[in-house]
Amino acid sequence: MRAEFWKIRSMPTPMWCLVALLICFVLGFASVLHWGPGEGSDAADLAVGLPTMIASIVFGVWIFGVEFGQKTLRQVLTADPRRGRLILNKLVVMVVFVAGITALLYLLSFPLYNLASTGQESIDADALARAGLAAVILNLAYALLGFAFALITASMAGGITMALVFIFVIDTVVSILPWGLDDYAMGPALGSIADNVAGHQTDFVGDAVSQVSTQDYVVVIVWLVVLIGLGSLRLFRSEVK
Amino acid sequence: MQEVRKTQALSDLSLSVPEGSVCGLLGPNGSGKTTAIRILLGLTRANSGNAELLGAKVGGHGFTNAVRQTGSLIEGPALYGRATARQNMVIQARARGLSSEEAGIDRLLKLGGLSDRADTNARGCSLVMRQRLGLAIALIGNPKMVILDEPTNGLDPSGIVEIRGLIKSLPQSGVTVLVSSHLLSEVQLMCDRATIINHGSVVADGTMEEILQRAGGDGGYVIRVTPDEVNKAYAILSEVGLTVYQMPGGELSVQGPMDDGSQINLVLADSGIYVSELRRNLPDLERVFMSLTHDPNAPVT
Repeated sequence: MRAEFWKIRSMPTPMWCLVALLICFVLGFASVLHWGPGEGSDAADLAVGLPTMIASIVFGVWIFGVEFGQKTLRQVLTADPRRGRLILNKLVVMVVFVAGITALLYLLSFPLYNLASTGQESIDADALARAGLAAVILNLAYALLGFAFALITASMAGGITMALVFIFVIDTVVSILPWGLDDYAMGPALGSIADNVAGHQTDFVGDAVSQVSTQDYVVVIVWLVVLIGLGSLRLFRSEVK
Repeated sequence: MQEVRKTQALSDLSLSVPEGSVCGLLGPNGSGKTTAIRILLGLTRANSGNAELLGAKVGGHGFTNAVRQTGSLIEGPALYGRATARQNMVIQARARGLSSEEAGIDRLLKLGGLSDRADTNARGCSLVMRQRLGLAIALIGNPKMVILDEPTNGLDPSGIVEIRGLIKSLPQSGVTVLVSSHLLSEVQLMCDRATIINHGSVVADGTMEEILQRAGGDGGYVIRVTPDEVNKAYAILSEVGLTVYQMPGGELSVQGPMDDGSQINLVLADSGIYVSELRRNLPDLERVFMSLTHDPNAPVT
């Protein structure tokens, strides 16, 4: 696992993701300074939530995709041939980083954005905490999705492309299928979970948020388990170039 | 046994490398060298049969430890291009559960002649530096064995000499080396032993001397005389019943019944011809390799 932390320290992709997140955070600070914090956790959602979601997909793909992109998987597996252990190590490191960075930025946004909004309305701490938790859940799900597609496609570019195709095309198609099949789309289920955790009354298109159900959790978990399972199967069965 | 698209890549391949030796693994393209190495390291799964690395069955109990005691460099170094030479080594050390000190990273960087380029990005390194870095990485954690697949691929002559020197020095620190290469002269120069495989099976195995003797037999002697004495020497040696061939550069290849080369010298000296060079005409690895792996029925292209 320590090797994975070292890779994050040594490689440019995680560093640039972090730089982009910090730039967005600073822009958020400037926006709050100029326009105020908005309602509830609006400022943090825009300056931290959305950028960390995109970064989570990229990071989720990168953490395995880097081995395919740099053709270093054989080097990794000749240091420790246990492929299951490698998947687990990368999963743990990814979860720690995605959850940690998302939570840290939301935490920092409370004092700093409050400072920026001095003289205007203050930020609701409770709403921010709930939004932060919802963002952690959302980001972990998207990072896991990226992770799965990097394994399935055995490629960095393929992983990012397929993750985006899944989110914007495949899942959208599933979500408009008739005969109740739309209930099995991952995006709406995940959105419902996140909206309920965040305490939102309406979703991002303005529709009323329905009560989260057990089925929503099951749908999200099953999608992630199936996709990561498929990717893992490919890694276990494939010849390492 | 490994089958690739209904083609059997390996069949009943038994390969043992004595401790502290540098063993060459030779074979024509597609003979199964890389497949054998990949199976040994667990990168490719055999369809059937068993393989063992340092006494541990591949994929079985103790295999992880066996792999950790084996350094490898397969088809060029696999490096993180945006990470420095040192960072690449630290990552590999950590993957083996070692700290930088335990892995001896500074020592290995020095051994590979990379101390002054330790903080250069791997992708900014020249091919020979990348190869040296790959070798240094293969030596992390004092491995018992090092497996190198085409370690001199793509290197210029001075790079080849450098890498050869590095590989030849490994047994001094107790490392056993298995090296696969297409460069037969290189294998002959760097290895004490060789195993030649063809169509997935071993066709020759032994010390380099045994291998060279095996197909070539006694190649006689090569002598060099002054250019104006070549014809006279040819006639004299033929007269005493030896088989003589003219070679380029004023050399003569002499074969036939004789105890040692001094008899040739004696015969020629009696006739007033003094040889300037006399050496055993040992068969080279290329000849042995071709005789063992050449398919006479193969279409000529």
